Amino acid sequence: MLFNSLHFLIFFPIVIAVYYLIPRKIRTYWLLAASYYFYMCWNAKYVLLLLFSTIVTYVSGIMLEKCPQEDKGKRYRKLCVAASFILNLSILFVFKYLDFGIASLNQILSHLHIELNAPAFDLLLPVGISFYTFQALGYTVDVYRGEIYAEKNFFRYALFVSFFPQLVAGPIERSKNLLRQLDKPAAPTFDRFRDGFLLMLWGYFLKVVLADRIAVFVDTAYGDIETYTGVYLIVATLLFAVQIYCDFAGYSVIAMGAAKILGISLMENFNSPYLAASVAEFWRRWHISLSTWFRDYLYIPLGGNRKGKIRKYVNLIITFGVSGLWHGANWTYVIWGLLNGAYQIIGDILTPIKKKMVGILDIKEDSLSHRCLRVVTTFLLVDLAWVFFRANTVFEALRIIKRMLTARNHWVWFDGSLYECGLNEKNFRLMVWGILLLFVVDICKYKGMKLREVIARQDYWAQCLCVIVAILGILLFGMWGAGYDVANFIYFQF
Amino acid sequence: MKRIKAILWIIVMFLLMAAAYKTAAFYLGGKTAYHKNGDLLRVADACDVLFLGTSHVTTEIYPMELWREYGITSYNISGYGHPMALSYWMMMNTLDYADPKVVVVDCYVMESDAMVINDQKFMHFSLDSIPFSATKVRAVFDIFDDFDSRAEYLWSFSLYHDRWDELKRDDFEVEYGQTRGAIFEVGLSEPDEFMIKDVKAEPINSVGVTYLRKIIEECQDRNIEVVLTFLPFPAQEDQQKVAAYAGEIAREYGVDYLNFLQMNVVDYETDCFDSYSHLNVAGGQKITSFMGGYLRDNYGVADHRQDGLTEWDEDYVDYQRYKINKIQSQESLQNYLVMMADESFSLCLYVDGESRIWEYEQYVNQVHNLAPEYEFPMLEEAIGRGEDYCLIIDNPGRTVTEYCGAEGGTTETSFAQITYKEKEDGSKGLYFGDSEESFVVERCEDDRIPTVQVVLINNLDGTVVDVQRFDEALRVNK
Repeated sequence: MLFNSLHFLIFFPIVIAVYYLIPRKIRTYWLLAASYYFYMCWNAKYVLLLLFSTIVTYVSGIMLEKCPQEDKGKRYRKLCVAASFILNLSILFVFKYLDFGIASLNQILSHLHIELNAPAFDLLLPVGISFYTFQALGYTVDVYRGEIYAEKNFFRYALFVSFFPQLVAGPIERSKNLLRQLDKPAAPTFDRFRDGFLLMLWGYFLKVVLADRIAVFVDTAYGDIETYTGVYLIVATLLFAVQIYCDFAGYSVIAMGAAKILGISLMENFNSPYLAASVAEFWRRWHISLSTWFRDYLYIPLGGNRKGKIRKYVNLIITFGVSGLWHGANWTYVIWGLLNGAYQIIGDILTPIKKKMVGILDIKEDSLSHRCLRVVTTFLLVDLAWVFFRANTVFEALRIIKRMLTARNHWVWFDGSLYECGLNEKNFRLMVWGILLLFVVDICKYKGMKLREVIARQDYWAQCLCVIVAILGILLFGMWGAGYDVANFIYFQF
Repeated sequence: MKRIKAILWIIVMFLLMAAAYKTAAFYLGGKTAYHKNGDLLRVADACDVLFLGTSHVTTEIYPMELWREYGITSYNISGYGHPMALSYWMMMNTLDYADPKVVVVDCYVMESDAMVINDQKFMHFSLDSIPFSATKVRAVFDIFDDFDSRAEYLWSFSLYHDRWDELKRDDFEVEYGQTRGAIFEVGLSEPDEFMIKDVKAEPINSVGVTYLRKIIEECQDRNIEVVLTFLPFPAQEDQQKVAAYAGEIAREYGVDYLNFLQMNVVDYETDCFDSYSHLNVAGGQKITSFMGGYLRDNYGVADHRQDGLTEWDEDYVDYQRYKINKIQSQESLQNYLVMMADESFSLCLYVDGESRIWEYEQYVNQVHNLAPEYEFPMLEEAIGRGEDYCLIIDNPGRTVTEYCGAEGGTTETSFAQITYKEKEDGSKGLYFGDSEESFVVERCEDDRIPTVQVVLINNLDGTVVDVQRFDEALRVNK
C-alpha cells in the first residue's frame, strides 16, 4: 500500500477513527494489526520475515537484560548481540545480496577464465527490509549499551518494528524515541492534528506534484541516452537530484505527519540538504536517521575519528561503502557510497590548502557569495554521485557522464526542445515553479523558520484557505490516478 | 470556545473545498459523455422508449427524428462497443429516473463474454454522464473486478484531474448533445461481400446472453415491453447465426424480434458507412423511420407532439440547427448527399450537363436514395442525353419535380414557388418566389464552372439554410 494510493487514503482515516474511538489500552493492538495489514497488502507471506526479525530482536533484548554485566555475563551479552546481528543480517543477505554476490562471483571467476555459472535465486526483495532490520538491530545495540531497558511487552515491541507510517521507508527510528512514545502516545489535540495534516500535505506535494513530475523528464532522458544527450542529460541529472530528494523527503514527511496524527513524533529525516556547504554537512542533513544510525552503530564503534587520520579515512570509506551497499545490491550503489566518502576525505585533506587560498585571495568566508559558491559546489559533487545511484550499471553511469559532457547541443536550452522530453511546456513550467517553492521553503527551514508554525499563527480563515489551496493543488497538479501508474517511492527498493 | 470555533472553521473549510472541488471536477471532466448523454436525466422521465445496444444503435436510431415524424419521446443510451452487461447497467441506471413503456435492445455482440470494452475511453463515454448513485456503484462493482478500475469509474476525477493543461473554451461552456444520444456517421463505403442465408440458430452460452436475459426479465418485472432487434450490416454467416439465436430468445420470453438482416429496410449500396459494420446517416434515417412506425403500430407508443412538451419542440430546433451545421461542414458531394437523405429538409439539386458525375454509379444511386420510392425518369433521360438536370424534392409532402435539358417550369412547393428557367446568357437559373436572384449560378467567384449545385431548405421554417457548389472533383467549391 503506497501513501499516494487511494487505498491508503481510505485505510488511514479508518485507522485514525478507530484508534481514537477505542479504549487507550487496546490502541497498541489496533495499530499493530493496522501495521501488519499495511505490510501484508504488499506481500502477505513476507510478513513472516518481519515477524522473525521482531522475535529475534525481542528475545535478544530480554536476554541481554537478564545477563549480568560482569565478566561471564559480558561474553553472553556479546553472544546475544552477535546472534541477533547474524540472524537478521543473514535474512537481509539472502533476500537482498545473495544474487548480487553470486553474479559478482561469476563475473570475477569468468575474468579468471573459470566458468562456474552459479544460478541466481531470483528472490523477491521484501519491501522495507533494510529499514526494519536496521531499526530492530539498533534496538539490540541500545539494550546492550544499557541506553534503554528491554521492552517486555511483545506487542508494543512488535509495533515498534512495524509501525506502519515508517515501516517501509523510514525514518529509521531509535528505540529511545519511539518505544517510549508507543507506550504513552501524545493526547490528540487540534494543533497536533493540524500539524500532522499540514506535514502530510507537504509530503504529498513533494511526492505527487514534484517528484513524479520530474521523474517523467528524467526517465525519458535516461531511458534513451542516445537521443537525449548533452543538455538533456545535464538537465535530467540536475533534476534527478531534486526528484530523489522530493521522493524520499516526501515519504518521510508523510510518515511524520501520519505518525503525528496518531500521537507519535518521528525524527526529522531531511533538513534542507541541498543548502549544505560541504559534503560532510550534506550527510548531516540528508537521510538523517540512516546517517546517524551508521554513525552511532558503525562509524563510532570502528573508532570514528579517535584513532588518527588514516584510521578515520578508512572508517569513512567503510561506513560509506556499507551505506552504499545498504541502498542496493549493485556496484553502482557501492561506488556512489565510496564517492561520497572520497569527497569527504579529499575535502579533509584539502582543507589546509583551501584555507591558504582563502587567505591569499582575501575571500570573506562568512560572505553570502562564498557560502553560495560552496553550496553550489557541494550540490554539483553530490549530483555527480547521483548519476551512479540512478544508472543501472557502472558502465552506463560512465557513458551518461561522457555524453553529458561531450555532446554539443546548447540550443536545447533555448529552442523549446526541453519540452519534448516527456513533459510539455505547461508541465515543465509547473515543475520549475514547484522547485522554486521547495527552494524557498528549504531556505526558510534553514533559517529556522517553520512554515507550518507560520500558518498556525494565522486566523482560521487563512489556515483554511492554505489547506484548500494545498489540497486542490495536489489533486489537480499531482501525478496520480487512472491515467497514471502510481509510482513507487524510490526508497522502497531499499 | 476555541474548540467550537476550530470545528466550525473545519466545517466551513469542507464546504468551501467541496464547492471548489465540484467546480474543478466539472471543468476538468471529459466532455464527450456530456455530449452524448448529458441531457438524459433532464428528459428521462418523459421518455416512452429507450434504445440499448452497441454503436449500431448509436449511429442508426435518432430519437429526435422519432419525435419529428411520430411524436415519440425516446433516448438512445447505447454506446460504442457496449457489452450486454454495460447495456444492462445503463438501462438500470436510467430506470432510476425514467419510466419507459418500451425498451428496444439490439442483440449485436450478445455472443461476447466481455464485460468491458478494451478501449476504456468508450466505457467512460457511457458511464461518466451517470451521476453517483447506489445503482451506479452496483454497476461499477459488477462490471469491474479490480479496485483501481472501480475507483476510476466511481470517481472519474481521478482520471481527468490532470487535464488542466489542455482546458479549452468548450470545457467551460459545455453544450449538451442535441441528438438524445445518437451519433451521425457521415460517409459511404462499398459493403463487403455477404449473403443472407437461412441459417439455423445455435445455442449461445455467453455472458452477453446472460445479461440480455437479465434485461428482458427486469423489463418484464417492471411491465416494460421489450423489443429485440438485430440491426442491419453486411453480416457474415456467424453473425447471422447470432441473429437467429436472438430470435429464439425472443420466442422464449414472448417478446418481439426484428431481425433487420432478413428485412429490406436499407440499401447497402448507399447506406453503409464502413464496409463491414455500420450504416451511415442515410441508412440510419430509414431504420429510425421504420422503428417509429413499428413502435406506434404495435405498441401504441403515443404521439406527444400535441401534448405541450415544449421542451422537446425547442430541443428539436436545436437538433435541426445541429444537423445544418453538420451538413455545412461536409466537403464532398458524396457526404452531402448522405446527409440529405433526410425528410426534414427539402432540396434543389442542379447538375451541369457537362458534368461527369453520372459516370459514377454511386451518385446515381445516391440521388435515387433521396426519394427511394420515386422512379426519377428525367434523371435517366439527362444521363442518356448528357444534359443539365434539376431536381426539386419538397419533403413535407414528398413531392418530386425534375427538369431535363432546356426544359423549364414553375413548381409550387411548401416553402416557395420555384421557377427553373434559362437565363438570357443561356445558362440556367433557379428562382424562389419573385426573387430576381438565381440560386443556381453559371460561374463561381473563381470563374470555375460548378458541376453540381445544391440548395437546402429547412422544413421547419421554409428558409434556405445552405447553398453549396461542387467542383469537377465533386468537392465543395469554397
